[in-house]
Amino acid sequence: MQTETQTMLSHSISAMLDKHQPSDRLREGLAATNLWGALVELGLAGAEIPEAFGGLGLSFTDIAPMFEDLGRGLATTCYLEFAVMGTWLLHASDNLVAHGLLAGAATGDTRAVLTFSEFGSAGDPAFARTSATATAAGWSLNGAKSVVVGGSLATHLLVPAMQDGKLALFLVPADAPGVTRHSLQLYDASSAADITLDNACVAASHLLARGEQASALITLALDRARAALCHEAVGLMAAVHDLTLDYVKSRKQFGQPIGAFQTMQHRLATMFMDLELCRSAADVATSAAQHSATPQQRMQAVSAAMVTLCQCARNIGQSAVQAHGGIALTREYQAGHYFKRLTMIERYLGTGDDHLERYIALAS
Amino acid sequence: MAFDYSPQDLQFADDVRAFIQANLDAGVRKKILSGMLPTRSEREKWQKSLYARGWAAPSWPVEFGGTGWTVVQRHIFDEVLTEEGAPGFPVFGMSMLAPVLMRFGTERQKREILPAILTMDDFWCQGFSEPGAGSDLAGVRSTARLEDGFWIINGQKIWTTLAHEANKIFVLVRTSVAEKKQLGLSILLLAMDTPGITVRPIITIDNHHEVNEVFFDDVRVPAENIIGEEGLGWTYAKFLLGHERTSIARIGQSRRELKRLIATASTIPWRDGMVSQAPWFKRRHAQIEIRHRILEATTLRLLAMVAEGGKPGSEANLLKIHGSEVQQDLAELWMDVVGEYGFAYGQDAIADIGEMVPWEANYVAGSYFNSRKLSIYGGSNEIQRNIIAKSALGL
Repeated sequence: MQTETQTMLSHSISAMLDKHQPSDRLREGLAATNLWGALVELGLAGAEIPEAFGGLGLSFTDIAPMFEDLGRGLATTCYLEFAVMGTWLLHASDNLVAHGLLAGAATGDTRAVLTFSEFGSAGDPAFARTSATATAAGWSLNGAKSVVVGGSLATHLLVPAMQDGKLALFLVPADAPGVTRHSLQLYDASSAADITLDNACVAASHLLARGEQASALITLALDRARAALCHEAVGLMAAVHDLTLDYVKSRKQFGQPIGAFQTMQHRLATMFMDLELCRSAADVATSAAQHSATPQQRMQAVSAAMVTLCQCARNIGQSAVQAHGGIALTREYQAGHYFKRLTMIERYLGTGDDHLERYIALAS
Repeated sequence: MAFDYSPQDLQFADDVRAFIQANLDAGVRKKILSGMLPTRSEREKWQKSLYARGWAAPSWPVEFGGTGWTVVQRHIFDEVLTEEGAPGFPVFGMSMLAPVLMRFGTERQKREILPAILTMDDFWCQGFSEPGAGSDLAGVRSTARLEDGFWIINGQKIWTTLAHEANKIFVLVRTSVAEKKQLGLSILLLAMDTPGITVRPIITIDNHHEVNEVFFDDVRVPAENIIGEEGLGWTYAKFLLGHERTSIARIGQSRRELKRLIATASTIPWRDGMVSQAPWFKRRHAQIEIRHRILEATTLRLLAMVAEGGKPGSEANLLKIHGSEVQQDLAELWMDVVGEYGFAYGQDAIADIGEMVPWEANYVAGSYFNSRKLSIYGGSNEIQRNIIAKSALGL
């Protein structure tokens, strides 16, 4: 059952996306239409920021389901990066400098991204090679962060780095000396940046967390993002399932709609089952991100959801293409773009293999 | 290799490899290994060097310019060519049109058309699929009517591979009205520069231009540009597509990818080691390798049967299904091997980031998206299973 807040958010997202239909945005080129600005206009940049800091004071369970609407509308927003991970970390870090940024984050003018990935770290900050050393003025950071989604639009970077052999989290203005960003366009129409830190210097107060506390914060930020990603995937899957269902009903071969063939019926039925499983997986992950008694329980629940999601996203994406035939592989038609985003989601915050491994490790 | 090759066979493989290494342009090789398409002139140059060596069409009978090799030699040749990243043969002319002409064409057609396929002076494309005739190929609606010694063609083809580079096309069109839709079809041969032909590109989600729509608006071709008898086009088309399916398993290409995956995975960091040491990589690579190994044995079993004069049944359909799935699994594994750099498809800029990122990262996502066509074209895998159920199992 949806709460009143969830229903209201869902309605405003749908209304916004009515004005930015995927078909229109495909014509303009999806990459050119990042809808972050539209979400800011709806006042959602600071959805989870407490009212005292200028936000709406909503909970994660309030906002997570609206990702389904974003997915349905094939919306590229960076909301996951800026709000669910970035802004939440600024608030959760309990650091005065970070808290000073929340008012700007609530208006969307401040955009922080968690640079969780380094080449070879398998998306896990515990394997970060970026290092932080103490200087007279504060900290000096060295390393490279790879394919940071939203990285080219961010005003601040949340940088996991190893300090004295322990993980720590630093707040680095994106225009700090020693920070270089190199923009990349990704196949799902989002934009990213490779970021190098070459003696990037920040004040001592920019250390947000270290050791266990840093790991716990970063892991929770990523698990929240995974839960939101599950909801987005549900929206994408529902939309591409609808497209496919319409197609097999109208496409005729051998004198009948191809949906009359049992092989197609079974394919669509399997897609439908996958979709329903992912709805449950999204609920499991969101509830775990918000309410789990222990981090272990949360991580295990989220990984269970992600294992399900990765498999179903792959099945549904590939099945949608197969049922359509060649048309789904053309740039002009929507289905292929849903397939691309689902393909990205399958890998973005850990692959199915990664999450299965994490699940097993937590169970033993 | 899974097959017990004789010392002579192994020597032959070495000779082929040496020839390729001496004659194939390094730029073309890299292009092909990265899943990009060679241009027509790059293909033509390579085909001409094979022609000069007498290796232009190993699948053809000697009288038409074939090599007279054994089935095993031909298999080795294909495999080494693919492993080394040589451009593929111009299949539409060589493996589809040519066998049909040899069997059903006139002496004049054989004399005039076949030599130009060998040298690739002519580059053929295939005009079969239509918007309303995909899996149901007999649903072709393009027509040709005979008028004063000319066929007048009207209609539309779709998914026409490399129509923008080809100078010739063979088209399946309706030439007479018949009760059964499989009757009344014919295959006509024409030049792409004939007035009335329009080619419109189709850009695919990997941003490639490989396929096209081709429109025919009162296109005139001489009456003799028909294969065999009027109205029997369906029989010829089935014969021709049978040739497509036996070569579609692409054993050599998958073997090459399996090797390249290991080589690349051992250069990419993963946690404290390399991707090649990651449990998930080892498991998935082994699974694909095993499936490939058995697929190769199946191919060789089929080839041996053909060599002894047997007629392959539904094995060709089986090879198509398994071959396409192996290639698709490989494309998926590539995506995970290059990690997040796989997201940044087609960005030559990646090369600037660091030596650690393999250049393949630029192409793996495109190859993955493109690999989905393998279970769609050449008769979708659903159609292949229907054929097995019907012709092999009598269901």
